[in-house]
Amino acid sequence: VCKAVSCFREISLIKEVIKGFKSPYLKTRTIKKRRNAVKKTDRLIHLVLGIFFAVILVVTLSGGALASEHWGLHDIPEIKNKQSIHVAVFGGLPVAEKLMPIHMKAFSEKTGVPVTYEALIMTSIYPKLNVELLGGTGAYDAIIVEASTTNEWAMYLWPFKELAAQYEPGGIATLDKYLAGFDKTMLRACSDRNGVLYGIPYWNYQQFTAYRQDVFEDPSEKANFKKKYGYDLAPPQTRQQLYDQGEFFTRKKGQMLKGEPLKEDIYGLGLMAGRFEINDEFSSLVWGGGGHWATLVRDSAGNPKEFVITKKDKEVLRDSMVYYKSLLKFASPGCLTGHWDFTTAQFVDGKCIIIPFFYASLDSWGGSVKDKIPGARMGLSTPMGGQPYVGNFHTAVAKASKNPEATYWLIKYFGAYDIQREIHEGGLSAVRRDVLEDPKYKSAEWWEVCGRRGTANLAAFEAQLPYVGDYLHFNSVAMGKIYEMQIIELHEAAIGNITPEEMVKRITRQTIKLQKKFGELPIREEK
Amino acid sequence: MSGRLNGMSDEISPVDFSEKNTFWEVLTSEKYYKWTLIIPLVLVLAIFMVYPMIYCLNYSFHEWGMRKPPEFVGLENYRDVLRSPEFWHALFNTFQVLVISIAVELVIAMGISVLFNRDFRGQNPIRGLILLPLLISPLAVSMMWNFFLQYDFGVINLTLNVIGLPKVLWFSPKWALYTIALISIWQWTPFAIFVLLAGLKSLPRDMFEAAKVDGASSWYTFWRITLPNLMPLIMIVILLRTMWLIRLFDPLYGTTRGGAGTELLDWQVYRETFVYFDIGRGSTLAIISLFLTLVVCAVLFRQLMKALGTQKS
Repeated sequence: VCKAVSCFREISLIKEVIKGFKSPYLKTRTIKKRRNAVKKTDRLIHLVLGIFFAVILVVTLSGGALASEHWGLHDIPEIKNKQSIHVAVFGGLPVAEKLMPIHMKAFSEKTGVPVTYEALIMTSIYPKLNVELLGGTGAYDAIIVEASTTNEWAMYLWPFKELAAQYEPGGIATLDKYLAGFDKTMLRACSDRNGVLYGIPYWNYQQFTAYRQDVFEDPSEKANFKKKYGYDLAPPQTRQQLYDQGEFFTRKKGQMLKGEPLKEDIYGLGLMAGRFEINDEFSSLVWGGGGHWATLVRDSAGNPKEFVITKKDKEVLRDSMVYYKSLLKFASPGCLTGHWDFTTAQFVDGKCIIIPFFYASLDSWGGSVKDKIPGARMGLSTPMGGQPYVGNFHTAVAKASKNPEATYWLIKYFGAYDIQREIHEGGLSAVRRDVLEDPKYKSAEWWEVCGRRGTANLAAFEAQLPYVGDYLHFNSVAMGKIYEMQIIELHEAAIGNITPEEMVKRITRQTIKLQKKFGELPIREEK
Repeated sequence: MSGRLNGMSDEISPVDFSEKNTFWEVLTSEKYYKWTLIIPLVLVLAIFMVYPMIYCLNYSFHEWGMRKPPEFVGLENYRDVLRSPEFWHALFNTFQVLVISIAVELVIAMGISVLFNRDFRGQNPIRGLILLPLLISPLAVSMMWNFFLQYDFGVINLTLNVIGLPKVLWFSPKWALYTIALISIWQWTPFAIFVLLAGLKSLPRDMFEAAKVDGASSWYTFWRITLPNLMPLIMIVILLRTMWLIRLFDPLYGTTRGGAGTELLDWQVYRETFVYFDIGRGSTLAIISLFLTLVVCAVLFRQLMKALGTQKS
């Protein structure tokens, strides 16, 4: 630019000189003077332009440095294998359904690898993908894995670090740097019982306790509660507290709530005793009650050796069912066939005050109670016992994939900071600590959107970290089957078709049977 | 060259093997023509029905969870299934739903088809509307009824509330099985209506006119003329509905998912095969289900033949 300006000035000067030859009054001195003046101006222009470009350079470099703080799309190297990949994505999950196609398109544009996808609804993920993986069909290059099936599918998936060693320019160390942003509990849930990582977490379904914060903070409710039970009204931390609160808030039409007469009956609790995910509620109760579905025994080197269904495990399970049944009187009768959608709809409609076991990703829906009931607000806390149901859905590379290279990069991209931020802000529960810990989400602007969820998530992850490695869910190859069996037996006991004792016997017998038939580690019952 | 060769003639003649015949001549000869027509269907059935059935039968003698190679266990799966109380419970539930559904459907369908057999204004749109439930996907029907019958938010309970009646827990362990039957009845009664209506329309009028001349009452006419004449069609409805109801699955998927004491035989097959991926046990259940269907349908088919024979005589 400077050169161009100088040239332009020289040309102007020469033009004037030419004019000067024509003019009898133009002297050489004048030309010299003018040339000096032009030189000074040029120097000034050079200086200004230099400063200008220096500033641009600094801004660009610092911007680049900011961008490279978190790994992202621009960091994906040239992919050699350009064969198209087919991806199984989440169906019926608005945030993921909206974002995943956008990200796949961006990936495709950046890398030149065509990406096609297929949305699978929750209930069809396991049966559909199980057949494809076990059959080695290669129908999907990238799949979605529910954490409790990681061990079961491990032999059909690529260990993620093996792929990193092959495709990362900086090797495994680069992947480790990238993984440092993720929560450790979440990474453990994507690993097999030996700690081998098989995927990158995408979103989590940590359970919280959801409660009507406006009701809990209401002076009249607080005073009445303290008068009746002798302690302060606060999110429940013990079984007795939850029981008391369930009882306290179960009210008939015409009774008062926050000083206003109720237009219809309300229930203290929202439970999901239907034959769908009742076992997740029980995981919170069993783990929080100090038990396990089956206790993992490790050898002297710390490696998993066997499962034992201990006397304590059985006792905790039985007590949990007795307790759960005692809570049912504070919940709508509809809960006997209700699932998470039922409890959340009840909460939003003002029909219940507390959902003791509430999935993280339902926070946006549950929070919409404020739009439906004037003055209402939802609060989240760690459920009683402090070891609520935890897990995630992650994406993994199928061993039968025709293009593991591109699939590796796509999956890594799904876990990128920017994408996780979009997920978090969009309403789905993220899995990266660096996203959840961002102070901006504590602000009033973001609190209801995702700050409340992120804060509760961090607390729950923290609480679960010491225990998560020992849960049956993340150690048994047969867990996918055991999970379904638990649902059936727990539901049967909850609706009163079998006694809690019979339920414990059945669950114990069938867990052993399924683990022996489909699992790898030995299992036994402590008599 | 005969016209048959280029497919222009529909004449079928006996094949003469003394001459050298073309393949087409053999196919269209009198002797083999029936086989020409039937073989494509037999092939399709063999590929899509017989092969999977044999495959299923084979795996019912194996223990196979798909991760390891199948292991031959003889009749172990059958012994295991037949000893399991869950199986008998599911079987009992299935027959309960079957009997209730068929009985209710036939009674309603008979009443409505007799009504529809008369000419009335707007008959065509009303008949069309009656057909609607049949046009909806069974899975969508079950989900729709799940919303309608939901305890706190369902339109049925809200309506009951408005008219001052208490809410009903439609999917309680006490009522859930009947609710499942209700959903099936709602969807499939139109089928029975139209079969019976077609039967009523095809009955010769002279029989009814003669009964009228003889002074027979409406009830007597229905009992002695209409019903016996419709018997073959009633048997067809029973036969088909039995086959379908033994395999009833969709109403459970959208509602209880086998909970609240509603586990039916086909749900158990699904659960064992596609949830537990216990292919051996799932195949065993499927074979038992097939066997039961065949036995029940064979009995019903005999009744149908009998009814047809009676009608002819």
